[in-house]
This record gives sequence, C-alpha cells and structure tokens, in this order.
Amino acid sequence: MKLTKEDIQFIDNYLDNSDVIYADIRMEMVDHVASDIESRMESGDMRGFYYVFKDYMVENKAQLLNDNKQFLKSADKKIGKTFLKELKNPITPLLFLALCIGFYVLYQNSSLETFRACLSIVPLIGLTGFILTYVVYQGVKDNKRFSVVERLAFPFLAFYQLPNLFLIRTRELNETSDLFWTIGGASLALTLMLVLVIISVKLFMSYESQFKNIT
Amino acid sequence: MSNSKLYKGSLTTIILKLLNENDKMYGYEITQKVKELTKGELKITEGALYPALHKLEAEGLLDVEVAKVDNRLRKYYKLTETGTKETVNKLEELAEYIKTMQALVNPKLA
Repeated sequence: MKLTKEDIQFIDNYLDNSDVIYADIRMEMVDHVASDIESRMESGDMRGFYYVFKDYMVENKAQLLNDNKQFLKSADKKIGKTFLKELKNPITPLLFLALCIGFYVLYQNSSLETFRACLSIVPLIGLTGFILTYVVYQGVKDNKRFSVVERLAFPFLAFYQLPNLFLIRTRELNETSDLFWTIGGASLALTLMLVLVIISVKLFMSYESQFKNIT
Repeated sequence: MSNSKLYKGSLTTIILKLLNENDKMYGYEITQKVKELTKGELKITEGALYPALHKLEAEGLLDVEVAKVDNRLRKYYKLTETGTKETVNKLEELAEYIKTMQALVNPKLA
C-alpha cells in the first residue's frame, strides 16, 4: 500500500519542524520513513497512516535526529574532500604563482597606497564569488535549503579572515620579508577563495545533475 | 546492526557488493536486502548506512540519481567506474580476511 501525496507532505513537514531543515537530507529521510511505514502497512497493520507513523516516530525519532547530525557531518566531509581534491589539481599552484607575480607587478608599478587598497579588497573577491553563486543557486532551487550549499559558508568565512593575518604586515613594507609575506599571504588567501568558488560551482552542478530527471 | 563491532568494518564492502549486483539501489532497499540475505541476522541501521553511502559518494565510488517515485523523491545510488574497480579490491580483501580468520579460529578448515 502506497502513501498518498498528503501523507508524504505530512512526514516532510514533521521532519522540517523537527529541525531537519535541509531539503536534500529531508528528502532521503522522508523516503526511508515512508518506505518503512508502507512496509508495515503491507505486512498487515491496517490502523491507518497516522497510527503507524506515530509508532514509527516513537521508536525512531531519536535515531532520526541523530542521523540528521551525521548527514551534516557527511556534508562537511564532502566539502573537505572536494576542496582537497581541487587543491591537488595542477592548475591550483599555477594560479597561486600567477597571483604572486600579479601582486608583485602591481607593487612595482603603483604607489604603496594603491597596492594596499588592492590588497584590502582581496577578501571581498572570494566572498562576492560565493554570494553570487549562492544567490543564483537559491533562485533556481525555489529557496530550498541544501546542506552542502549552505555549509560552504563556513570555509568561506574562515578564508575571509585569513588575509587579515598577512595584511597587518603591509603597514610598513620596509623589509623584503614583509613584502614576501604580504604578497604570498594575499595570493594564498585569494587562491584558496577562488578554489572554494570553483568547488561551490562544482557542488552546485552535482546537485543539478542529481535532480536532472525531476520535473 | 547486530554484532556491530564485527560487521562494522565490512559495511562499505557489503554496500559495494550489493550495488555491483544491482544497477541502482536506494537506502531503505539496501537495509531490506541485507536483512533478507542474512535472514534477519544483520540489520543495518540508517545511522550506519547513510553516512557510509555519503562517504562512498564523496570518494567518487558512487554516483547519485534522484527520481520521483510513489509521490516522493528517491535518491538512488549506483557504482561509478572507480567504484566497480574498488568493489573487486574490497571483496578480495574481505576474502583474504575471512581466510586468515579461519586459519586462526579453525585451522582444520583453512
């Protein structure tokens, strides 16, 4: 016996109200819960959906909420693995090198004030990239919240702070080592943020590919 | 999962083996298939299954496809090319492990 559209919506709402806020996680949980309830009903439980659902939740709600935490950890691990994989891409060190050269050329050909001003916008470049991809994705997906998409914000915020560690040294720039750390640091921060933008697009595209058959 | 400590290390191999024999499977289907094949001896909980599936997906061993089935969305898992190769390795590792354990526990059968 298959559950109706209303029954499925009821399970979805129940999980949403139980803090399973991400659509991708809830989707898999709803299917699991619905499949189990259907199996119970097919095995002879004729009391009706709400009674079987209530029994299921009494037995499994704690486990389901714990699963939600596991799902979030999986999302974080997925981001971490995709990020590390992208770092190993030969283009990444080349990008870092190109940015180092670019910043050095900028330092040579502009005043210290202009150089500092350019460095100060480094954090914003990565952040803008993420916000743009996020806004576009949310628009496409009818404002549904997706775990990996939202949790990408954490590494972005971490990397957003990273340039500050290096920009402090731009105050003087009297020594060669200061210049080395400033250019190296800014290039590293920008490289990491650009890699995050790249993996954001890749992860968004992987969601798109998963849902391609859904009308 | 019953006897969880003994079975835990083999969970990914079990998943890969099942997916190797079936074109694509969804989470609940995997738990029921394992229950059926082991006559109820091994029950995989969703708390163990889904993290394992997501880990395999992140490692590129599984591919995911979402389809609308029975008024809801269902996430199907299937092996990638790398996943198919890894299944062979994992099964060989498991066979070797069983052989070694048998030699230790019951030398006459080894």
